[in-house]
Amino acid sequence: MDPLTDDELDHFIELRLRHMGIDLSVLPGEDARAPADRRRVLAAVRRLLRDQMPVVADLALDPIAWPPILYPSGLAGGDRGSHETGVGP
Amino acid sequence: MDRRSFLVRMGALSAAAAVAGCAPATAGAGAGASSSVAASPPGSETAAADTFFRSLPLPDPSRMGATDPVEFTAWEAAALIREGRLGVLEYTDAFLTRIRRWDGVYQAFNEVTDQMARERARALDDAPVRGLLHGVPLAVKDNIHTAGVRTTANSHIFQDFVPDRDATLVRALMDAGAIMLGKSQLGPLATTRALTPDGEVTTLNAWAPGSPDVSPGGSSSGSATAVMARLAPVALGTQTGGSITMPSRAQGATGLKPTFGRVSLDGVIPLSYTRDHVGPMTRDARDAAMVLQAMAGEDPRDPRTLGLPPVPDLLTAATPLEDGGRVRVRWGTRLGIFPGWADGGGDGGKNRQDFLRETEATGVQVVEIPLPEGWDELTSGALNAIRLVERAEPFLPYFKEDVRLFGVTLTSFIQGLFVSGDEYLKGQRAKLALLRLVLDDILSRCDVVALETHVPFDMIGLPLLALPVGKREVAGVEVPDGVLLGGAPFGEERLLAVAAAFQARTDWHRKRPADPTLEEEARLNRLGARGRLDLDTVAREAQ
Repeated sequence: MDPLTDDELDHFIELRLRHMGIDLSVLPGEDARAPADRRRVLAAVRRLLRDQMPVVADLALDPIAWPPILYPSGLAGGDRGSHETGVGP
Repeated sequence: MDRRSFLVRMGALSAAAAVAGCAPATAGAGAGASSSVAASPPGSETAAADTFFRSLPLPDPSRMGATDPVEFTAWEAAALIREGRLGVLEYTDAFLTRIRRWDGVYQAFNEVTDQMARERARALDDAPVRGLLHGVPLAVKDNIHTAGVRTTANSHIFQDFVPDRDATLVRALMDAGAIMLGKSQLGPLATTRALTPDGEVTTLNAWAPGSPDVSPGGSSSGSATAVMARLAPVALGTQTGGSITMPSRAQGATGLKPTFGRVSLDGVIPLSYTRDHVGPMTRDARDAAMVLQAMAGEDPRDPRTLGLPPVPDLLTAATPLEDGGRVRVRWGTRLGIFPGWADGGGDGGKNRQDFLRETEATGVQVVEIPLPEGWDELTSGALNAIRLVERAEPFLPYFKEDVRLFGVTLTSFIQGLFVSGDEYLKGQRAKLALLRLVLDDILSRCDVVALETHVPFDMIGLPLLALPVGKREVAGVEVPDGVLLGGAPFGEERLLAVAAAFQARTDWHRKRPADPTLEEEARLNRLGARGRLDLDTVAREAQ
């Protein structure tokens, strides 16, 4: 399949936002002095979709060995400082 | 949806957690950061504080070369207060005086609660000395709830939000005797260096007030600047992606991001449910230990704190041993470095080599560790981007209300709506794989590891500590250089032990920046003199 064009991706992004009830049209189309404009927001979302999420999707991980863990550090016990030198102050 | 509805929702989650939890409460609910002093602090806390301060050499202000109490570390000041040689109001006023004089330049604070602080200081002067932080003033990052005091997260969304109760961790610190000086500046919604919601630079690096381009580090910029500019002795930061350790490294503070779950997130405006942390930003490891000791522990309002290993004696950990006049790290410790970590010319390489030499002199064994296979893949920017889902979800009502509420931070929030469920799950699965890699291939060979970046340990919630080890030049200005150390799960004590031993042999942590010049002050008062960050820059630097 051919990769999506900028226009196709922008259309997908705008439809998804509209479906969620989010109105991007309140932003200026292009205004570098504005805190945010549509052109830059759409470009940033396109970068995420094109450059980053495919890397995540393609990562091969054994589904049995690696279940999803929200808070992994809590599983791992603790460092109790067990090697005190024993030299008193 | 109004701001209150957001908080009501958060409150409902907390209440559910309280019902589900079975641990005893560690902090009172419903009380505010008022000027009153609790009648009966926990006896164990008082006993621990007494033992700690008895073990310290009594500071001698004249020997310390400091005549102004703002120059003391918090533990030094707390010890002098206990001895009746420093008044709480005197100490508090010293910081308020500097805030009045200099915060127009630094802009480290969003709000200064001077009247409340002075009333509380007077009350503490009249009360028996009790908690660990008795009389210690504190800057609280402005994304942490404080009763009756605006908590804005530097955002349009929360600009008028006034919580009706303190975050659990704030209440714990107040119960230990701390005094809130005010709310410190941050990047909008805790994302980047401190800015107004629309991108105007606010907080400056305390070492470069004449150069707004020199970043103070983000997002806990105001906390680091307050501590290093002597506007507060200690401060609180939050970290989702480097926001405690980066400003600490940028400004010479000692910053500690504890293990995930070590400090309650009740009353902290969420940026990521799985990666948010609260930690101390201080002038040395002992101060960091004091603050963390006072606020760490289980909280029925935050289920993520329950069922974890108990909080150890961090104060002892941050007190090095002496052997015939020679400083020794408290525990035999292996410090791991990756190949090339201390190589390179310039100040950076020299500072790291000096750090290793001084640390080895305390008894630490330095070991080189190969970079594990799979490290780059599991710590990639793509997997780091998974966190964006967690900042988008709680803010969905505000997207629907008006996307302009997000100001210059809109991009990284709205990106989170475009990570699919399967991608998010993959990211959570990768966390376990990364933890296994860290435990098996790194922390099996060392107790503490020197890291280039905070990202891997932020992803899996492991503790990080930043400390100053030298100086470097940025844009023609000399600023501190810091290193970043990572520890095992709940291994804060080991990080503190290594840092405290290094700091007992060196004085980088005692260096302070000069006050701004009148010329710098005049220049910064001009409209637009600080500059601004645009949408793309904020997205690139988003924590």
